[in-house]
Amino acid sequence: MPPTPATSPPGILATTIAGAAQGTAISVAMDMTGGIVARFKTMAIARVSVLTGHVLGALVQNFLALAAALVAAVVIGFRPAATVADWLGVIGVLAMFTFAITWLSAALAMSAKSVATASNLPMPLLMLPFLGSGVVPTASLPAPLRWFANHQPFTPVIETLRALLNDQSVGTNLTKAVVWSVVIALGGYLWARKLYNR
Amino acid sequence: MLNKEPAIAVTGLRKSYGPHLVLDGIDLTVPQGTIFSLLGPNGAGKTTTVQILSTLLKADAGQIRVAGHDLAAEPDAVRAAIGVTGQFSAVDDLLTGEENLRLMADLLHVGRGRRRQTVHALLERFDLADVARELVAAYSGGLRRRLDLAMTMVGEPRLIFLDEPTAGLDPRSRRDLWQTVRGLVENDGVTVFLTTQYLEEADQLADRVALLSRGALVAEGTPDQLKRLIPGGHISVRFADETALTVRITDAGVVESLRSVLEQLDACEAEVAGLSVHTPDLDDVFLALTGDASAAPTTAGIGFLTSLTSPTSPTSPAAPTTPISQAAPTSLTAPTSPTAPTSPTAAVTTTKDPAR
Repeated sequence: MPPTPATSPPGILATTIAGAAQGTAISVAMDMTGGIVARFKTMAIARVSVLTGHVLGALVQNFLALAAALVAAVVIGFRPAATVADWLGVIGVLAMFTFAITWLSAALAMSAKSVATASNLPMPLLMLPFLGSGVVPTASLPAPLRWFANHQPFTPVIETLRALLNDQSVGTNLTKAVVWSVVIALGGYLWARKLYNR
Repeated sequence: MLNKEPAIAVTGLRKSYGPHLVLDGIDLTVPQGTIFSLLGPNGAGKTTTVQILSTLLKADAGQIRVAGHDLAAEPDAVRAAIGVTGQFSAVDDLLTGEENLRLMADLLHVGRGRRRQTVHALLERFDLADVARELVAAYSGGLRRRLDLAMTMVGEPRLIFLDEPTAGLDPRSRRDLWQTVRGLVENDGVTVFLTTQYLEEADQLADRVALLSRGALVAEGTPDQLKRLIPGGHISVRFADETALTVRITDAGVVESLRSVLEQLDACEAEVAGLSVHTPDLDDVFLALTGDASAAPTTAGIGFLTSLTSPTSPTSPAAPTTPISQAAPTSLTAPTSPTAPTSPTAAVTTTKDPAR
C-alpha cells in the first residue's frame, strides 16, 4: 500500500525559510548600523566577507529550524516515502533555496536605513508559500492567482520537495527551482555587494 | 613609507551630499609622529573628513595622500597602514574583550603563536586584563573605548584616526584616554588624527589644531599660535548682588589689568563675591573664529549699558556701577578698535549671565 501523499510539510519548510529571512535581515541591519562594520571597511580585508559570514551563519540556523520542522511533522504523523537519494535531493534543494533567499534578505537589509525597516522588508516572502502551492494545489486557485502561483519561485521549490518526499518524479519543477534559486542568489549577492561598497 | 613624507597630505578636498556642501576645499598636512586635531562644532564636517581619509567615503574632488599612498588609487594600501576608532564604538557586544581582540588578529592573519602574545600584550597595555573574559555588553563607556583602541592597535597602524574618542566619557576616563593616546605617539611613533569638539582635549593633546567651521578651515596652527589670535583675556568679577563685571585684559598684561581692576573696586568699596582671571583658551578662539560669537566675552560690551539701566542694579548696594560706569565710553569703542586704548582696562563690561 503506497504511503499517504504528504501535502503540507513542503509548504511548512518553505515558510520556515521565508520566516528565517527576517532574522537574517535583522542581524545584518544591526551590524550595518553599529560601528563594527565601519571598522571592517577600513581594514585591508575582503570587502563582502562580513555578508558572506552572515549568509553562511544563516544557512546553519536555517537547517536547524528545518530539521526541527521535519521532526515535528514526523511526530504528528508525517511518514515520508523518500529514499536516501530523495533525502539528499531534499537537503540539496533546501540548501540551494535557503542560500538564495538569505542573500536576498541580506540585500534587503542593506537597503534599509534602520533595523525596524530591515525586519519588515522580507515580510512579503512569508506570503509566497500561501500564494503558491504551499497549502492548496495551484489548480484549485482562481485564474489570476493561479497564474501568479505557477510563475513564482516558491511553487517549483515546494513541488520539488513534495515529489522527493513522496518518492515521485520531480519533472520540470527541479529545473525551475534551480533557475529561480540561481537568479535570486546572484541578484541578491550583487545587490548586497553594491550596497555594501557604496 | 618615506620618512619625510607627511602622514596625511590633502589639497582641495570637497564633498557634498546632494545640494548640501559639507567640505568646501580643505587643505591639510599632518607630519608623521604628531597629533593633529580637527576641531569644530557638530555638523562642521569633522566626521565626513575622517570617513573620507579612512576610505569609508569617496571625496568629490581633491588630492589626498594618506600614509604615503594615493587614497583614490590604492585604498587597500591605505587601509593596511591606518587604524580607525570611530564615534560609535566598533566592538562586538556578544563577544568578550579578549575574543574581540582575537577576532581582529584573525582578520589580519596574525599567526597563532603571535596572536596569543599580541592579544595578551594589548590587554595588559590597555588595562583590560581584569575584564578580558567578560562580555563587552557589560563594559563601561571608558572600558569600551579602551578596547576599541586596543582593537585598532592589533594591526600596528602607523596612522590612527580618532573620531571624538572621548565623547560621553567621564572626566577620569577622558584623562586616562588622553594618557593612552600620548603613549601611542611617544612609544610607538604613530601619527594621530583626532577630531573633537572639546577644546581642552585639542589643547591637551594636539601638536597642531585646525578649526573647521561650515566645511572650511578657518584657522590652523599650534594651540599657542591660535590662542595668540585672540588678544588678552578677561577678568570676571562677581558682586554680592549677582551682577557681574567682565574686564578685558590688554597688552599691558594680566598683572597690570588686575591691579587696575582691584584699585577701582577698592575705590568704590564694592562687595565682591568672587573674582577670576580668564586667560584666552581655545574656546575664545573657537567662538571668535567660527562666527558663533554670541557667548564670547569680547562682545559682552553691549550688555554693560543694559545692566546699568536694569532695574536690579540701581537699587542694589553695588556702588561700583557708578565709578566704573565712567569707563563706559571706552568699553563701547573697545570691541571695534581693540588696539586703540592704552589703559590697562581696555573694555569694561558687565553682564547679567549667572552661568559665567
